[in-house]
Amino acid sequence: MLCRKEIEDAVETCLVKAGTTFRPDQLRAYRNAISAEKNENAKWVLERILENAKLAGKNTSPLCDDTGIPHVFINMGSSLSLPHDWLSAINDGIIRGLRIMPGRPMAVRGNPIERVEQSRGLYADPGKLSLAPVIVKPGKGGKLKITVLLLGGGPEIRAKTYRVFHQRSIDVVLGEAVRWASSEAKNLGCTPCVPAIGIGRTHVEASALMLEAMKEGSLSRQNRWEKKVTELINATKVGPLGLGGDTTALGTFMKIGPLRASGIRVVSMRPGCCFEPRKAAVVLG
Amino acid sequence: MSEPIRIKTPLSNGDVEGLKAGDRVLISGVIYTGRDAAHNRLVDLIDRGEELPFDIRGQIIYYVGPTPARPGKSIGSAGPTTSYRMDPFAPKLLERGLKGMIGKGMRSQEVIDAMTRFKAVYMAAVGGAAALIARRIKKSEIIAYEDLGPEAIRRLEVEEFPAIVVNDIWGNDLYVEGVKKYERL
Ligand code: SF4
Repeated sequence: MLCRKEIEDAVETCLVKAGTTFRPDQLRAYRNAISAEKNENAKWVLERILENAKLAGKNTSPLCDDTGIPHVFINMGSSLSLPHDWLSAINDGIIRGLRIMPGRPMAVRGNPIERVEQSRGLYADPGKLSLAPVIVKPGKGGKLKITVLLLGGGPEIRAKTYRVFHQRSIDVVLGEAVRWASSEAKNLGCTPCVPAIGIGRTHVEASALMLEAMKEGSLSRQNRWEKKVTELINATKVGPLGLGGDTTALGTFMKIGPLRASGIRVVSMRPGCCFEPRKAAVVLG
Repeated sequence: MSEPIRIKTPLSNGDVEGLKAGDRVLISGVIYTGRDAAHNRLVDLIDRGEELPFDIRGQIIYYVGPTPARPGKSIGSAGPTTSYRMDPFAPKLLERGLKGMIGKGMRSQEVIDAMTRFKAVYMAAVGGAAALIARRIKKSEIIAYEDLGPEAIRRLEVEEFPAIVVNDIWGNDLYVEGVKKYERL
């Protein structure tokens, strides 16, 4: 049986790694974009993003001062045996990771109304930033896969979950998601973006699928639809930092779930920013 | 690739006249930080005819809310925040002599007009490049509104802080023109 400490330590390590390092697929995607980019300013921005990632990784310092809201995705094997308090171990690992990295202290104090109005200020403790609801899905055998994702505020302002009349065409559905992503990319500021798209039956399900797309996606492994979405967004020429150029999107992550008989699909599109997805995973057991 | 322009604060009218949208700059000297909560308080002071906590003439305000500093470091990660939140307040500060703003994202027409009128520039720092920018910040001290935590006003000493001029004093806007130019290529 996995022990509580093992889970807590792994979550802490994942959180810090997610917030401070680029993965090999991100490094590769940036290098490719730099060599393909024609706009000098855009090239300069991409080089600075890469330089920033290298420095952050070297010093284990956050990639961005908006260290994001922690989300955890669990794949739980059917023959796994877990301590009864595994969920609180995950929570404690998140708190420890936020304190060590450190995360930006941006948790809002007060009762529900005071929190909405932000009238009682912020907690000084980065660990007060509570974990978003955990998503659990089946995994392999006796394994527990924990993925920690940090979701920045910029993409949250620009994300959208809404119904699309599909007209029995994937082009129609993705075309709408591209329209959302393209119009938001220029306001995001922190481009190139990496849009994540979930297509499902309900708003909750589409959002969960969008997160799962981020969890599973790799910029080095893009299917034809993901490539198409990326190309269409790049045709806007918004470019890095919105200053014009060829690289508006580095790639796209897409996940389609079970669907129902209906004239609509619920689509969730989140235009992840230039450091996203900030994620790290561990497999225990 | 052409070399970035090196500028030193405080900025004069002559300094900002020499900057064009699309110029890459490396800023050295003192700059100040502030986000919307601090801007709100600064504008309240102006409205009441009271003194600002620092002499704003010729200065640059960097829109940032840094992460806490680790022991031995001057500042945590310090990337730019979205600028539109400061738009309602910026024209009054520009009128008072503010010469530069650093953030990310587009500005309102009122801010762009105020930059032309009072001679000031808006620069974009590389969105999210927090670790890189933190390395260019040599010293940081809170000079006002400590209760705002990461949103307090800080005085930063910077060396070769990298940014790109987005709006210049002639009304050029790189967010509009940069994209148009590359649409045609
Ligand atoms: S959008 Fe992303 S890179 Fe930009 S400030 Fe937010 S988290 Fe950082």
